[in-house]
Amino acid sequence: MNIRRAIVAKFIAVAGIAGVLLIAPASAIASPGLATADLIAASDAVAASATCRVMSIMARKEGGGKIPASLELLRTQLRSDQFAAYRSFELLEERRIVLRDGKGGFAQMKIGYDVKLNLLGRDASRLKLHLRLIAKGSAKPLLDADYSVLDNGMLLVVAGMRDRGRALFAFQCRATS
Amino acid sequence: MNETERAACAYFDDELESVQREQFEARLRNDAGLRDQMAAWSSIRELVVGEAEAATSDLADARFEQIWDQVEASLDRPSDARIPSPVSRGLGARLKWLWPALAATAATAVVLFWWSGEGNGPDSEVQVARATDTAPSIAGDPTSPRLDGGFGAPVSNDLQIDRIEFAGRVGQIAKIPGAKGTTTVIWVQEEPQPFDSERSL
Repeated sequence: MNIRRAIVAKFIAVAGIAGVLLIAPASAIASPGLATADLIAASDAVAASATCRVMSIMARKEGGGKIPASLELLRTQLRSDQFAAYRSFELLEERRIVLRDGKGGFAQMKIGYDVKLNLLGRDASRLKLHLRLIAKGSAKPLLDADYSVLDNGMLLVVAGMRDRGRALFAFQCRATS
Repeated sequence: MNETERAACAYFDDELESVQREQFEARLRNDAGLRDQMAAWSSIRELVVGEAEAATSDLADARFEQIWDQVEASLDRPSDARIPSPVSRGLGARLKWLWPALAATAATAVVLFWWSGEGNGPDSEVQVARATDTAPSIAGDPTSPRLDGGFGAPVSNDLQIDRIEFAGRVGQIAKIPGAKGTTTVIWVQEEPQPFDSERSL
């Protein structure tokens, strides 16, 4: 039985390698590879999209000082001196905003803010983004900023008081294909 | 403090020599008032020592909690890390003889796919883009199970702010240093929220 398996495996392996050796050069001769222009166009199409994660968090001065598991990725930041006045953190909502081909994305957060994000551009490693954070009922954005960040990098924004706590937002964007 | 009280204090603190101790104990047996006083001191000491021990035990727990938090904080665990289960290892080991064949077949499939799609290069990208255009901009559903979606823990952020405007009264940009770089925090002081009231005109 084992001998049969070994024979079958070797046959498939030989067939596969033969396929690689025969088909790849043939296709390269028939059409001398993908044109460089095609590759650039494809990479441009990939570059023009990103996905952003928006987390709304409530920071309160009361509580046991524990970081919930849902906010584990922000442990270092929430434990820092910047947030020393706050004893509890609660992840209220997490949304995804897909940014594509220069189109902006929009999310109405339940905490009472609207988030507008736009992908302004991207180079090899950085995303350039336009962020607007608008308090519900307000005409003017509370925050209006252009920033660039490494892929998968994070920005924290601490906004106003809501429900006996401070509204906090985490924005994390990554390039997508 | 008289001689008796001084001796009582020394006895209570276990500072008497053996001879003096025996003399004091003989005196203690005949003096009910002295026994009451020693009993009172003992009660006070038990209370004080008991409180201190309780406080010490709480402190030990708190310290342990703090140390554990520090250990957790220092762990570098990407959230998308996957620990292979023993079951999958066993399966892999059992199918070890098949891996070369699978690898060769996969390589062939990749080459065939590349070859067959060669003529459509840029068009296929456009088709993908158009197909995904129909998807809603907001893909997140807070009620659905949370999926990481490939985000994972933030990497070195190295964020640069090119332009910023605050509608509120005050804005501040701060940096949080970390093992993987700094994280930028923008603090915005919001204007007081307007509220509806029957008195407001």
